[in-house]
Amino acid sequence: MEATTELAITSTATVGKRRRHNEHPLVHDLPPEVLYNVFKDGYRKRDYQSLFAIRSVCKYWMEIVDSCPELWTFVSSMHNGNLVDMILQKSKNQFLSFEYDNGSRPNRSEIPIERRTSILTRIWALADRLKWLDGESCDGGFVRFLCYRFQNLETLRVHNPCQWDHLLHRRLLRAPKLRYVAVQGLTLAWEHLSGLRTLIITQPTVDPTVNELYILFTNCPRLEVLRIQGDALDPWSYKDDDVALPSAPVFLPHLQYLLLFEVRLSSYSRLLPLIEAPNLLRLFFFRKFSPFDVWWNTSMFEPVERFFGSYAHSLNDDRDGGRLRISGSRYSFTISVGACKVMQYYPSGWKWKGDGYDYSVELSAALSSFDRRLGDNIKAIHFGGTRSREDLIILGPIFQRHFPNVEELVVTLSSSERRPDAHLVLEALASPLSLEGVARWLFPGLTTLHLKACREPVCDGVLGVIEARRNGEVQGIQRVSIKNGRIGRDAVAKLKASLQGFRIAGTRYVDTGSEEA
Amino acid sequence: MSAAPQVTLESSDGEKFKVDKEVAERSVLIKNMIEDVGESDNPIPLPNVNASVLKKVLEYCEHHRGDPLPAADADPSNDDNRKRATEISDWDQKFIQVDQEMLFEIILAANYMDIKPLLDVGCKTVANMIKGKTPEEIRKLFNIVNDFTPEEEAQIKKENEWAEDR
Repeated sequence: MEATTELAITSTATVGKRRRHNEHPLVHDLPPEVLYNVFKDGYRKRDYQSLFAIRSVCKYWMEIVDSCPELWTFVSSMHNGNLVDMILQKSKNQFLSFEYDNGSRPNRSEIPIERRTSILTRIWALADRLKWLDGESCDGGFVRFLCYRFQNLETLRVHNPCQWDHLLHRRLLRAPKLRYVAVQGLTLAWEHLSGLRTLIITQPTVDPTVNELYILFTNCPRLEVLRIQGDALDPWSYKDDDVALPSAPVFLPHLQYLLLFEVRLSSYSRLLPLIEAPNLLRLFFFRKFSPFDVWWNTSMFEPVERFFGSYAHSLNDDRDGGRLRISGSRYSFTISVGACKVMQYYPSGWKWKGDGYDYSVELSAALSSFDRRLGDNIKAIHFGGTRSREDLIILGPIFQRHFPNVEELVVTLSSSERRPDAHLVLEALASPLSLEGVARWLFPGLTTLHLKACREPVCDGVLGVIEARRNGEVQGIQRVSIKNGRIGRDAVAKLKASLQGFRIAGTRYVDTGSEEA
Repeated sequence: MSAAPQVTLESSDGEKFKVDKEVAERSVLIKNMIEDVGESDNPIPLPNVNASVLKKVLEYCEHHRGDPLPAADADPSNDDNRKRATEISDWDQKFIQVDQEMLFEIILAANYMDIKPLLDVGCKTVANMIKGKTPEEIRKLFNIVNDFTPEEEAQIKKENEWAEDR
């Protein structure tokens, strides 16, 4: 009974509050703290016009908006001076987000330098209240502003200061609570950063030396994301290649994403073996090649390969992780590591024969760089840009040698002047090939085949492959999908009857020429 | 197998609802009451919530009975927490498609019974109703009278111009 009495007292207080508002519109039954929650989601963030629309509805709403400092925490150099006054007054002691933009971007009006200086001076006085700082299209004034101490700053984003001085002179940031840093065109004293969770560095920023990065790793044991977009035109010319690195491994239990684009191969090759990241979801490495280079990037492969298939964690979908991709052969190379079950290969189709370069030698050299663990782990190959019977006949055996456990093959028939029909491209799968002097079937464990065609190729050849493999001493293909291209009705009927799984999409029947299957 | 423990809730208009304790405890108010005074056969009175609203609230609690409860100290500035707070699931969207009167009653009940996820769904729904609208459109939507004097209107107009000056 006591409980009932206690609850009744609580309830009476609330009922009283509601009765006072009975004569008002229904929405005014909501108490101010609830209306505040509504307003918080009801305006476009950082857009005071939409907040002003709310406070212009009636006196009650204006009173609520004006008395909630949390709604007045964003200041921009683009703001009118009177608005800045208003924001700073209403924000009381809230932490602030400050966006600096000198207006030099397209479709913006350039902000007069007096106005920029004035707002920087005012914000400088509030440096302790800054939690979030974004320098978008910023200039020397903003970069000098970074010399102050930011006691509570957690996020820093800087883009395009576009002055050589900002690249060459390393700025020391005094922000002990900094957690997220994304910089483009501004170089920081990397080894002095600590406690970071995310670091994103984009060229033309001068990327850290491996020694600086090593120190940064030890200072940031909770680092979750590191992304470096370098600008390494010459991967060998790097100043700290010969500097001794500590030999102690650096333990980064929270690191999930290590994404490296166009970094100095030789330097990073020395650092990677020291990283212990048991929860890594993705290691991504991308580099473009000069057409005249030899296959020299193996120094990067060796430290990378220790990450392949090493971790239980991987993204659910192979679209994002667990993928080894070689694209454009000599021109770019991408490694994305997780559980690594899929190999993607995109030969530079039209260069295949035209430039007299033997891609099979190059591919073979690349795949030789990976150890057996990776090779055994790969279960699927995405074979892009396929346009002739030679593609699978010549390159297929190379894949076969390195990836003996392939169960799934995706073959993309590229659109080209030759427009090969499926039976030509898939010929290599329909009979034993001479592999190392012995007649063997290509991909003997193959059970799934996906054919992606442009509009023209006739895909009936799939049927021949399935029948040939079923009659041979090899695992039968059980699942087939065909996208686009053309196919005969008879072939579809036979495929449906003989397979465990058969899917077709966007494919036209050959006999009618127009009807889509 | 023993039956799940149940509690009885009594609405402001005297209707009683017998529900699983796990469902009722989606309300922090009820959870605290049960913890403070112990389990009892007496119905728990909810004098601020009528039967039709309580039925709706319990429907929500029943659907979300297994969901993790929001942490009391969850940091709203954390991206994950904020994302969770601003997303409305398909089921919740359908659930909250009610007339304005019922919508505000549900929000009030969620606030009173301290059911934060339901309160968030309600607030977000009202927020979506006002987003992108002019003051006049909002007034019309909620039947609100413009009570500003001409002098105040002039000041508002001036302030709005500051916000537009970028």
